[in-house]
Order: sequence, then C-alpha cells, then structure tokens
Amino acid sequence: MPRDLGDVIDCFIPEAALGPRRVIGLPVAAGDVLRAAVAWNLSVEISRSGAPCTLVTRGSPVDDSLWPPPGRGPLGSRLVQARESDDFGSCELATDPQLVLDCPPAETLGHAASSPGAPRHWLLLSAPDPEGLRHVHHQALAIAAAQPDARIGVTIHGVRRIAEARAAFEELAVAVESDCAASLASYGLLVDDLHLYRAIVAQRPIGLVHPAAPATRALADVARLLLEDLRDAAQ
Amino acid sequence: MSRGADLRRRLARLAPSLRPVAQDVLAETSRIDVVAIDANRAAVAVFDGEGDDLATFTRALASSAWLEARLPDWCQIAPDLGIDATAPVRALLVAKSFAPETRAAAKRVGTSQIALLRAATPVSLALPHSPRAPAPKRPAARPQKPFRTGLTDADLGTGKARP
Repeated sequence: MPRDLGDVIDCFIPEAALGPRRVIGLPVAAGDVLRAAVAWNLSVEISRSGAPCTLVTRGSPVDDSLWPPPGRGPLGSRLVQARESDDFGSCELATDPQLVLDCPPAETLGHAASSPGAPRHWLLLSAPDPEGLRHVHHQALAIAAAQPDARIGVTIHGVRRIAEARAAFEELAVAVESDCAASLASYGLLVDDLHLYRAIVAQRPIGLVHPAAPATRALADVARLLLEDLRDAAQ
Repeated sequence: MSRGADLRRRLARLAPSLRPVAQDVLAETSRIDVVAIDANRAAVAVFDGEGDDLATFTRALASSAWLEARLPDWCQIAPDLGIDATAPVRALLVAKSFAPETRAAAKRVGTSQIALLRAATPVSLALPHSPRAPAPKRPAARPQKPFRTGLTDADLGTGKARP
C-alpha cells in the first residue's frame, strides 16, 4: 500500500526531543503575505529539522488566500485553520505535534497575548528600517505588558548583510530593555531573496524548491536557533 | 483628578489586558495608585513611576506584598471581582522613562515580581543609515542577549566565500 512521506517521516528524521508540546506565537497581520510565507516556510524547515511542526492560522476567511490549503504539508508539517476567537490550544489538531507555530492576528496582539493559554514564547519578524523596528518594538511591549515572563525572540528580515541585521537587532533590543524589563532573544536573520517571493506566489516551500538559496540557508539557521532554545528549555 | 484616576485612565490605552478594580488604595503607609486584575486573574499593583522612580520601585514591592497578604480577605468581601488569591501579586510601574538603577533593580528582582512599562510617545528607533530620519547618537549600550546567527556574509551571497 503506497504511503505518503508524511506518514513515515518520523522514521527518517531524528526526533528533536523538545519535551511537552511547545507553542510559539508569530503574529501575522491581515494581508501580510511576507510574514505568512515566512511562518509557513519556517514550519516546514522546523519539521525538516526533526520537530514535526503544526502551523495554526487565525485569519478571517478573507485572509485564506495568504495560506496554503489546510491539512498535511511537506516533511511532516501541518496547517490548521482556527478562528481568531478560538482559545489557544483548543483548536482541533488532528495529530499531537511537538511544536505549534500559532499565528494570531497582529492587530489584536495585546489581546492574544493576554488570552488564557497564550504562547509564552514569541517570534517577531522585524524589518531593519525605522518603521519596521518601531512596529516590532510596540509588539514586544504589548507582549511584555501581558506576560512579563514571556520569551520574546526577534528575527530581522529583509537584510542583505549580517552587520545590517546585527545593528537592527541591537537597536531594537536596547530600546525594549530600556522600556521594560524584557530582554529580546535573537533568532538570526532572513535575507531579501527573490526565491522567497517566488515561493510565496507558488505556495511551495523554498527549502524544497531552492535548497541552496541564501534565503533557505537563513531560514534553516532560524529554525536551528529556535530548536536549540527549545531543547535547552526542555532539559 | 487623583493620581490613581489619571493612571487608571491611561492604563486603558497602555495595558488594555489589565482590568482596574480599585484606585488610590491605602496600603501600609502609602497608596497603591491602581489595583488591577490581569488575564490570568492575578492581582497587579500599578504605580505611577514619574519622578523618583527608584523610591516608587521600593514602595511598589512593599505595597504588593501588603496587598498579597490581604487578597483572601478581598475575595471574601468581593468574590465577584474574580481575583485568584493564590496567585502572587505583581507590581507594575508606569513612567515615561526609568533610571538605570531602577531598570537594574527590576531585572534583579525578576519580572514575576515587578515589571516596568514605559508610557512614552513612540521612541525614535532611527538607524544611523536611515535616509528618512536624522541620525541620533546611538547609545553605547549593548543588549543583554547578543545577536545570533550561524551564517556569514558568504552564505548570503554578499561577502567573500568561506576559506
């Protein structure tokens, strides 16, 4: 009987040993194609790294075009559509994934972060320009106000050089630290790569279509940093 | 308008997840500006930190301990408030900015006990190379946690190849 790769992927990928199910929040605004694509590609990349990852989208129906169809995705990944009003962790998950990437609407992030069962670990994507940094700065403060002990991580996206990403992260982290007691964790960078945009249009994960592209390397590095932190926390 | 009433009004915008239930509450020897309940039903003692924020910091710690000891009584008197009397009381300081010593003290004590919330207008985060904003002097401060990546510019296709 033919088997889908997703059914047997566990036999080929070493288990990531993350302990109990972990939920990472990654806010995505309505119509934000870039963050949606990064979230989905990241869930595939994390799955490839050994932690089957389920992506939970929480957009309104008009946002459905942002995401691939729900259900099983490549390499053991999975996509589940939830309503914005669903409690975190209450949405139906057909499997019991080790890792959930939950994408609440960025517009109501403060409310989402203060909801019962909200993720305690967040990943924010920031552009290196002043407007992008300011936006994520406010997001970090909203999370910190709702959850003082939350772990807030930032990936700088849309850069061409590592020095550019480092400068942006440090600027943002110092600003957040001066405003509240939270300190940001760095989760690398994502490059401005034409392949990423093509992958968005084609709705095919860049890690499979362009495995050697700079954007794929950067995405794999972000997945590695996330998993390392989760493993450390599990020990 | 009292200090507590003013802070309560501002909290609706700054921290909408907090539900204020009392203001200007007399504690041991001074007043708690606002007592609020967070989404997890834990009580939060909120203070206006303008002025001598380090003194307010000390007062906030003392008053939140005072409040924590009395929560079971509050729950008897007003069970409809929905306060979880078993959850530790957290203090929250709100100010436009905080002194370095206050920030250091908050980090030392930990966010489970006290949090600082800066209620300023949007801060300038202009990068030195931004063409749209004048370059402010960047503080020499470094973040607590470093920037991390396992990549080099060569991996991004913008630098020299690895040796």
